[in-house]
Amino acid sequence: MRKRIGVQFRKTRKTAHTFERIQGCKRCHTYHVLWDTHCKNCGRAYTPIRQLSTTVARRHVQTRFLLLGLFVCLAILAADTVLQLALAFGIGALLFTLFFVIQKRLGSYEKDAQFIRFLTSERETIKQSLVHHLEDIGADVKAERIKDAYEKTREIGHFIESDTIKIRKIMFLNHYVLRKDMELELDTLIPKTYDKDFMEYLREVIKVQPWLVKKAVLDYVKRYKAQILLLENGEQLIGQVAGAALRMKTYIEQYQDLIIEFIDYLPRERLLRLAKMVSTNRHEGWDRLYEAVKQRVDTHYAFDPDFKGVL
Amino acid sequence: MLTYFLLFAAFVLVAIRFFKLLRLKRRNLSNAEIDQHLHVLLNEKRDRP
Repeated sequence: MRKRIGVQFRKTRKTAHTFERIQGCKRCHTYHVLWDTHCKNCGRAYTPIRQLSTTVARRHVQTRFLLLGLFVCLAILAADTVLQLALAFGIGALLFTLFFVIQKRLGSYEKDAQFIRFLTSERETIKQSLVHHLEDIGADVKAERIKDAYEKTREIGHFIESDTIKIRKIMFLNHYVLRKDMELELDTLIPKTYDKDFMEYLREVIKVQPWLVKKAVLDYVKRYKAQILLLENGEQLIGQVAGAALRMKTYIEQYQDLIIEFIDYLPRERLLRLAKMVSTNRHEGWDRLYEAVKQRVDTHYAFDPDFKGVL
Repeated sequence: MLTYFLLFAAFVLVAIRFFKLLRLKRRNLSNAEIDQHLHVLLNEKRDRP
């Protein structure tokens, strides 16, 4: 087992939506998803992508407005009689008013649609910028700046859904001592196939943040149970996962078989919690689980005062 | 005559703009949908020849 070192990771920006993480440089026409506020090439402050798109949308409205103005002005200039001139002025004013009212009431919907178009048109540039960030990460790894590499990969991971990114993040994280106060992730790191590094990471995460074990993790462990059992202390690991699943009644119902199979590897405190839960829910189809818990308690904790009278 | 034609063109322009914006209002994209679109764009694999 490799020696882990302590680290303090940079806090990640909290955003309601992923696109809020993208910033663009107006001069270089590049995008940036990390924490820098100014472009490295030209020094200009980055602009949020939504704002860039709004500028394009505003220009689009301005073009339509100018076109309308052109038509009305030409209509005024082309008037042969006073009546035509008055009509051109009157209708022109009316159309301008209408344009403003429509724009005021419905313009915001166009901004969203324009943003979708903008993202589609900028897809390749955004991708290139992400590739550029990935190259930076490669350089960081070569220079053994693993912390920087992890922080950058974590930011890119918000955009790219791939096993390569997930496994890289896991490998970087496995260099460090994980702590309770860290912003750790688990669900988002689950690879599509079995990965030994992920299991090593899972083992550490369960120790500090067991609440991160959710349905996706339990499904993964259940699916790759055979491979996990081949690992050193594989049974203990599944026991720890099963113990973490005891947080929710639904998980206990859904993963009863897994819990029963690895009940011998449940830590004492988890077994006590399970014993309390099964005693109150015994008649809800938990009979098998009750029997398994009872047997385990009778054989190993018969003289433990905490277990006395629970079952 | 040209005045009427140009005024009509201006009217058509405003009408097109109104219906276009009305259609967009009915679509009413949420930020979550935009986010989803971004993820699809960045993660889709193109068939290379």
